[in-house]
Amino acid sequence: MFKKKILITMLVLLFLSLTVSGAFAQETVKIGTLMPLTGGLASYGQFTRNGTLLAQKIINEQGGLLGGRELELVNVDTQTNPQAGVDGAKKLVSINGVNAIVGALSSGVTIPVAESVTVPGEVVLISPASTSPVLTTLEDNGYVFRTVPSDSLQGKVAGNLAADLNYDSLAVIYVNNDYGQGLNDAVIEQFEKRGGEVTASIAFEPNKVSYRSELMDAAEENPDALLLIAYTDDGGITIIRQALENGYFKEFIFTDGLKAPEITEGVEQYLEGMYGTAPTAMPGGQGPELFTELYEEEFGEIPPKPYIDTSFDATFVLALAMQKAGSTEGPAIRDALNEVLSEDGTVVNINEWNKAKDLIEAGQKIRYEGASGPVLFNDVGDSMGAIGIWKIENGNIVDERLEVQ
Amino acid sequence: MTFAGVFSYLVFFLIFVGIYAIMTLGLNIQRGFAGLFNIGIAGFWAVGAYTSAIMTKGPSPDHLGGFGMPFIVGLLVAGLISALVAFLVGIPTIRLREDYLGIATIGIAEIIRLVIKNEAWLTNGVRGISAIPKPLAGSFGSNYNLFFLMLVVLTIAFFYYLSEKGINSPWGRVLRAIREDEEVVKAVGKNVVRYRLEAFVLGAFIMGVGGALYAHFTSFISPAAFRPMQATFLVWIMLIIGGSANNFGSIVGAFLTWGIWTGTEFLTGMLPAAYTTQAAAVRVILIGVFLEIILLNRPEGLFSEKKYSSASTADN
Repeated sequence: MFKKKILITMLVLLFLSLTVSGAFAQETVKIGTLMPLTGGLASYGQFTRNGTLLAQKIINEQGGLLGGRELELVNVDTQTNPQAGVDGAKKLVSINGVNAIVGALSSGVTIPVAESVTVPGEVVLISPASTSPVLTTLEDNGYVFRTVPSDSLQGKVAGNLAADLNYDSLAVIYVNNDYGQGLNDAVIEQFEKRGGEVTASIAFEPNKVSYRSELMDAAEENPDALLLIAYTDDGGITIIRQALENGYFKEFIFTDGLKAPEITEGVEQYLEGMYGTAPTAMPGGQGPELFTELYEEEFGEIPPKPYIDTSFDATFVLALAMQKAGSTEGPAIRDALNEVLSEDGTVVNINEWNKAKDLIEAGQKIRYEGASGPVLFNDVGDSMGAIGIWKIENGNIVDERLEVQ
Repeated sequence: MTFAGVFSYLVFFLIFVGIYAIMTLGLNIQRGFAGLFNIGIAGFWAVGAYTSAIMTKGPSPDHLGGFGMPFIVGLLVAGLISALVAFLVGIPTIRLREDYLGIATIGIAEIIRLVIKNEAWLTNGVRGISAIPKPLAGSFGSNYNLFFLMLVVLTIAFFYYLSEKGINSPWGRVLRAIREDEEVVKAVGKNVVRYRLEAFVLGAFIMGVGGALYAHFTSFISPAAFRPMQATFLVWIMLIIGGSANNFGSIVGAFLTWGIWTGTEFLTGMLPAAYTTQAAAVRVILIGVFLEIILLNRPEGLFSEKKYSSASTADN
């Protein structure tokens, strides 16, 4: 009997929670967020979630949206896994009744969520972090957006950089995931277009002890430089050290994952003058500074992790679109997202929600100078982005210049 | 929250339960009846999913494809290729006892995942395959998921029937005997290796079909979907909770485990927003607690092995 009781209590609890969570909150406007709080990207998810919460706070402090209704964010943990992510998205849409979602982070979750839940359900999805080029070509009826540029943009800039540095041949070593692969393809395409030759393109599995065999293959035809696509904590540093130790390469180009002071520690003199690329805020506005200030006021020191600002922007932009549409229906939000933002609109900063509401009421276009720089979507729902070029000087990382899409 | 919304989620939830139930039925043949310790489910799941995706998609420059076969052919070929992989893997490994077979299969699942990750011409590598066609897409409007659920239920019913039929036959009796004591079965002159291999291959076939259904339902697969946690160990938990060697228990186990897995989200969702991060961790703990409660109370699983008498075998 005891067992049966426990089972029944469990079921009752489940159903109670269902009804209770639904009984709250009649008047709020809901946006769903799909952030990984457990699993592989858990260390990112809690901070990107903070980004969305900050946007919520600003909007609610300045009178909410759609005639004074409060914005409510409902988060579901994707567990950094497509099965759980898809289920969570469906929960948001069907149970919580959201028509707009911020998330997910990894492309491996975002794409199945879009294909099986949000696109068929006419729900707007804005990913703050999925950089896979597949998202660009997805058949999404215009429901999928992102506030980060596609990987192919950085690859193009890196390819140009290599050509500008007068390298004739290049070897590429990249981390074997969709991020690394996307960058690699774009680099090769651009570098070859500029007349260079890519002698080797080698994928590596993260966190191995030795990368000498990869390096040996890459150095085989004596290319002028190594373009390394990696993160600092998955083997990138090891590759740099071993390339220098064994003299495989003297010249390097790095990408955003390696834009960290650790890479030069102890090898400053050898990496002096090397270049790298990284997505950066679009020029114009003081969004990034303002965001750091507001974030630290609310949550304490901002960690050096990406996608916190883009998560903020995704939430803010969704609220703008809802306000513009005057509705919380998916198709209306989608159309409004394409209309509300404009490059030559009136400037709205990240803490000026009231001003934004007035502008929308007056029927004016908005230039939203977001936490990650001005946010503008192109016709496939990708964010226009800027790529920064950085250089190592005296062992420090210094920003050189910007390339805008 | 509307009634229609809850219903729509329920259908969605049941589809996932159904796909997991198919996996569990496959594992039940291997583990429950034949005693094979397969912890490489993710591998067969992936093979099935990728096979069906490649068979049914139109031409794509990114990966092998362009066969444009109908859905049902995709399912069938997915099962067959998965069975073939199991057969090839089984030849050298099936003689291994319990834990050794476990080690071999987990290695094989990992090899399969790495092949999928690296052989981009075949699978589009780490980027995965998108836009996998859904059967009869567009013909049911907003009731499409209901139709898909029916497909899943039909598949379960078919495999359930097959498995029950098999296990009640002399073939099934030999399998169970092997599980209990291999030497005795050898002594009565049965080819133990052949029977074990048959159970392994049949289970893999079922898993392949389940994988194919998963691929068509989510329309997108990438190596990220076939990590051991969600694709292998969850299925094991389902089998253990439901009760090994009981097909009905397998299905109930899938329902209950996935219910706990996702239902705890509702519980932790009631905590204030400020605790979201902690809530996610609490959810994982809750899953553990619920599973412990069930296992402490029913160490055999909710349903223990059915009594298969010789009378019931004689009837068939």
